[in-house]
This record gives sequence, structure tokens and C-alpha cells, in this order.
Amino acid sequence: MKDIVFLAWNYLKYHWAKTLFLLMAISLVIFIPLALDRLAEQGSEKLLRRAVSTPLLLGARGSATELCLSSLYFKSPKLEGIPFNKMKDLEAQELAQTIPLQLEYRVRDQPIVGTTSAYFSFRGLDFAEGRSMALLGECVLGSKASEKLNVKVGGSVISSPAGAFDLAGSFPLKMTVVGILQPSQSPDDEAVFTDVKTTWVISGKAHGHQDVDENTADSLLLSRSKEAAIASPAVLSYTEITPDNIGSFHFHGNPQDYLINAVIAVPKDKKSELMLRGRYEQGASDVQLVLPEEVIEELVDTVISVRDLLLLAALSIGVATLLVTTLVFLLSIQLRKREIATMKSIGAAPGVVRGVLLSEILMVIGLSLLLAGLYSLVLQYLGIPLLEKYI
Amino acid sequence: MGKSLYAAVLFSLALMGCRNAEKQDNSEALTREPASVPVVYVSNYPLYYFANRIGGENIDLHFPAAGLADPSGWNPPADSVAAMQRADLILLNGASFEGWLMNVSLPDSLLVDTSSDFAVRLLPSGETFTHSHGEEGEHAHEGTAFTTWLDLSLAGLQAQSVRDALARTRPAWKDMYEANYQVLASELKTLDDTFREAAEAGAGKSFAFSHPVYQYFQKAYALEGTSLHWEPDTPLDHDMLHEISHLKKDRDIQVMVWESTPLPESVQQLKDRGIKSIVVSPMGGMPESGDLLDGIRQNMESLRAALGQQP
Repeated sequence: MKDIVFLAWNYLKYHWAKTLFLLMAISLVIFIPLALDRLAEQGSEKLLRRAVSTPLLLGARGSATELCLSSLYFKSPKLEGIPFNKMKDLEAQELAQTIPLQLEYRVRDQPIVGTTSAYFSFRGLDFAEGRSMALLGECVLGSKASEKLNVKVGGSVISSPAGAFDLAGSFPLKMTVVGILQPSQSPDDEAVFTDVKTTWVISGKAHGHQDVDENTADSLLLSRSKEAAIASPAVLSYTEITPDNIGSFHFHGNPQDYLINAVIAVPKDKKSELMLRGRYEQGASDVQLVLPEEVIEELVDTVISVRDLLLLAALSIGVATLLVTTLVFLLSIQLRKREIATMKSIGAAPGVVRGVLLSEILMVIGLSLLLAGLYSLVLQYLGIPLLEKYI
Repeated sequence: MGKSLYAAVLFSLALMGCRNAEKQDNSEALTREPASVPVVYVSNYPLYYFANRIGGENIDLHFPAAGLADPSGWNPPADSVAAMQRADLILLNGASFEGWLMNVSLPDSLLVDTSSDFAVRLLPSGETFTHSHGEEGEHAHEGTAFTTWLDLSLAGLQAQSVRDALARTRPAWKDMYEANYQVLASELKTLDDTFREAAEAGAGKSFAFSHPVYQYFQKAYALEGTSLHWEPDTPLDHDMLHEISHLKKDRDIQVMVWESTPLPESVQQLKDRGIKSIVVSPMGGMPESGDLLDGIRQNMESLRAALGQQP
């Protein structure tokens, strides 16, 4: 038996190039369907977990999928805003608690989530360090955001302009980091959380600057009279909110009309949920109330249909590869007729010859399985995190 | 095939199980009804008094600006806000009393504006702020007066709002809150009626008010007068005496209403001009002694004395 294995192993070693090709082909044929299945399953599970844990979402009428993807996973598609008073309307019905989400801005690649401290208790997020944002201009970082931005509690981050051509449209605000969240293996890890009012400062709806009156220096005024002092552009808005200047920050217009992108609604009970859904479905409103679970399930069903098709294709390729591999082995036996004759002439029993050939096949299949296992490990530790990052 | 089908069914069932569990967890995080007494924060002393009377031992009451004579000028430090975020309820006076509200991060679901039910009865503060920005053009904002509780009928409505908020937070204790509220409401009503009677007797007298904080008090009890910007602990200078002499001449001012005890020389200078000085405390901050109703009774005695009525 040992001799048979020795001969088979040395044959494979001698023909290493042929063996390597066979190993690659067979291992990939085993790995690809498994990987597809694993990726689809993992992706679907992640998507669903987040959706299922979010009872209801209120947003502008339009694509429910975009509303869910943006509000749950902080993905980029720009959502239509809804006035803040839409959240107040929902709250006034006393059927659900509400959490606002303002998702327009970013700190480099990290999304800024304008919300309230209720978001942390709703998602069950704990603090690794520090506390929740309490004052205008304070922020809390998700664990990965903290790593990527290389900022700790006491440091600061600056909001990025909304686009290359939006240099004046949004306000680069320096925010003080007052807390860092523990990892949650969710999109919250990537986010920069701040109060929704701070995002309105970034949007320019609120700002702070030194007081301008008739006693202000000439260099800061365009004109002055007894009734009014008109500030020149030399009066700059503060780019950081500090205890000294926080009192000068003021809001223009009615904050109830300021925009948010979505509202998480947590109904008191099932009956409240159904009543709310009924009211919003019947009302000719410019907002929609969606059940994220339903929306994401539809999306996942699509993903699963695609996965099934891909699996079918992969299995067909697998069968074809298996046939080709069988052919390779059969041809190989034909080509090794002289070698087999030599083995017989030096006294090898027919069983030994069959044993050597069978061992070669088993070794190739065994090694292919090992390789496929190795690929799966690589997928688990490198591929899945990449999937989490981009899906 | 059979095996994969079995695995798929198992997976789906497990997923559904997880979903239900997670959904329940998240909803419960915000909607569960804890058994402990609710943690309640208030922004001024009248609300502290109402909440204390209605909630009694069954609320954990906090008044973080208790150290200030005038809590409308409070700037909450981050630690106080962080503590308030963990509260069950934050009772606000509203009517622009909490100027700090837009500068802090507090979930709307915790906030209760106790004057929102009578928004149409709110009065202007009399102070106008004019400014302009960009293409909006010049525009003016008129401030809102915030000492709503000085009109005791509005104070009663605020107490009602406190009762409702507490009952929403702990429905099981609704009856107890209601009983306590009824006692308080009756006392406020009695005081309100007495105030009206006293004020009616003094109809026609003209008042000067040391600060524009008596708008609701004036309207509720029909006390006509002019608001100044005088500090009780600042001696009257030439301009101030000139101003009051003109008011005496033009409007026959007979009573000067101070927020707190004025300097004796100020009282004498006004007396020399035929003007009585009385103290009507706005009671926005925690009193050094007594409680809100004691303070209101004292205010009433001052008013009666000024109007020449027997206590």
C-alpha cells in the first residue's frame, strides 16, 4: 500500500505542471458554487438583519429601495429631503417614537448621520469611549470611522463639501469627537454621528458669527446707519462651535421646515404599526412610510434568484469540467501504456497498477478539496469583510 | 437536492426566528415601560413645583438650573445634557424660555413643551431683532414673552400638561397623578380668582415694571403699565429719574413693580415722586424659602398693599 502511494505521489510530483492545472481546475469547480452560495447568503443575511431591526421608515415619496438602502446602510444615492415637521406630524399621532436621519454629508468617505442620542439606544450601540453628542458641533464616531479617520475622543473631524462644485453650498464644520462606539459589525461602524441640528449648521441653515452693530469696525461693514449695520463678507462665520461662540449660532427660517432624509419610526405595538401604515397608505401625502423588512426581502429575493441562476451555471461548468478531467485521466492512461507495461514486466500485479492510478486520482481530488477549503478560508476572512464594505 | 431543500428550510426558519427576536429587542429598547420611577428634568422652578406636586415621591425630579436666579439664561454644560438624554421626560416651559434648546442634542420624544397647548395665547416680548442675510432682505423677529406662569390660568394649563406627560410615561400611575393635579389645580384656580378680584379693585391705576417680564401678568389681571430695563440693585441715575418723572407726568404712574427687593434709596426716590414700590417676583428660579404658591401669595399681598387693599 505504501509503495502504491509512493509511486502515485512521485508521478504527480514529476508531472507537477499537469498536476497543478488539474488541482486548480477541480478546486475552482468545487469552490465557485460554494462561494457564490456563501456570499449570497451572507449578504442577504446582513441586509435582512438590519432591515428586520428597523420597524418603519418615513421618507420622501419615490424609490422605497433607495430610501431603505440609504437609511439603513448609509449608501450614497442622494435621497430627496422631507421637512422636519413631517416627523413632528408622525410624532403627533402618538403611535410611534421617532428618530430623524440626515444623511447628506460626509467626512471624507465616512457618512455623517445627523440624528439624536435615541439612535444609539435604538440600535443597541455601546460606547467604547466617551459619551453621546450633547452640544451643537459634537460628534461620535463608529469604530471603523475612528480607525480610518485616525481620530480619538478629544480630536476633531471636518465635514467635506458635498461635491467638487459645492465649495460654498455646504459648510466645512470642525466637529469635536466626544465618543467612539464599540464595533457592531454593521454600517454604524463606518459612520460619524452628530445631532441633526449640527447637520443643519453644515447645510448653512444655521451659523454663528460675531455680532454686527453700529459700533463694529469699518473693515467689517458695508454700510452703517442708526437703523442698520450691513456686514461685509469680511465677517466670517465660525467654522467650529466652541463654548465661547455657541451662543452666537442661530437658525434662519423655521427649523420645522429644514430638511431631513428619513425618519425611523418605532411603533408602540403591532396595532399602532398597522394604524400608521394604513394612514400613510391612504393619505395623498408627499411622504411614504415603508416597512424595510418587506422592501429588503424583495431585494434579497432578486439577489437569490440571480444566485440560483449563477449556481446553475457554475454547476453546469462543474459537470463539464468533471467530464474533461475524466477524459484527461483516460487519455493519460493511454499515454502511459508503456509505463504500465514496464510496471507489469517488473512484477507489478494488475491490482497494483490500478491502485497507483486510483491513488493518483484520489490524491488530485483530495488536494483539490484542500485547496477549495483554503479558498473558502480566504473568502471568509478577506472576501466577506470586502463584501460588508461594498454591499 | 432533498438535503439542500432541508437546509434551506432550516436556514429560513432560523432567519425568521432571529428576525422576530431582533425586531422585538429594538422596539423594546424604545417602547418598553420600565417599572422604576420616571426620571424627569425641568427647565424652571414653576415646572419643578408642578412636577413635584403631581408626581410626588413617584418621580425622580431634577432641576439642573436650580442654582440660577433666572434659569432663562442657563447654558447647559455637556454633562447636564448627557444626563438629560437618559431621562424619561424633559419638561420645558416653551414660549422661547429655553434659548439653549437649539444648541443641545436631546431626542424630541423626551421633550414636552408645556405651553404648546395655548400657543395662540402667547404674547410678544416687546423686543424686536432686525437683521438681513443674503437675498432674503431685511426682516424682523419679535421675541416671545416667556413668563407664562404669571398668568395663573396658564400656569394651570401647564400643570395639566405636566400631568398628561407623566401619565403618558407611567400609565399605571395615571390616577395618582390625576388626584394630585386636581388638588394643585384647585389651589391655582383659587389664587387666580383672588388675584383677579384684587386687580379689579385697582383698575385704572397705572404701573411701571422694572423689566419686560410681566406681559402675561399684566394681561391676565388687566394691569396697565410701561416696562423699563431697571435692575433692583442698581442705584437710580439722572437719566432713570428723568425717565420716571416723565412717565409720572405723562401716564400718572403710581406703582413701580420690581422683580426683587430694590435699594432703599431707590424706593425713597420713587416715593418722593409719588410712586409706591412693590416686589412681584417672577418666580422663575428656585426661591430661597417657601414655594411657588407662597411666592404667588406674597406677590398678591404686595399688589393689594399697593392698591390700598386690606390683606
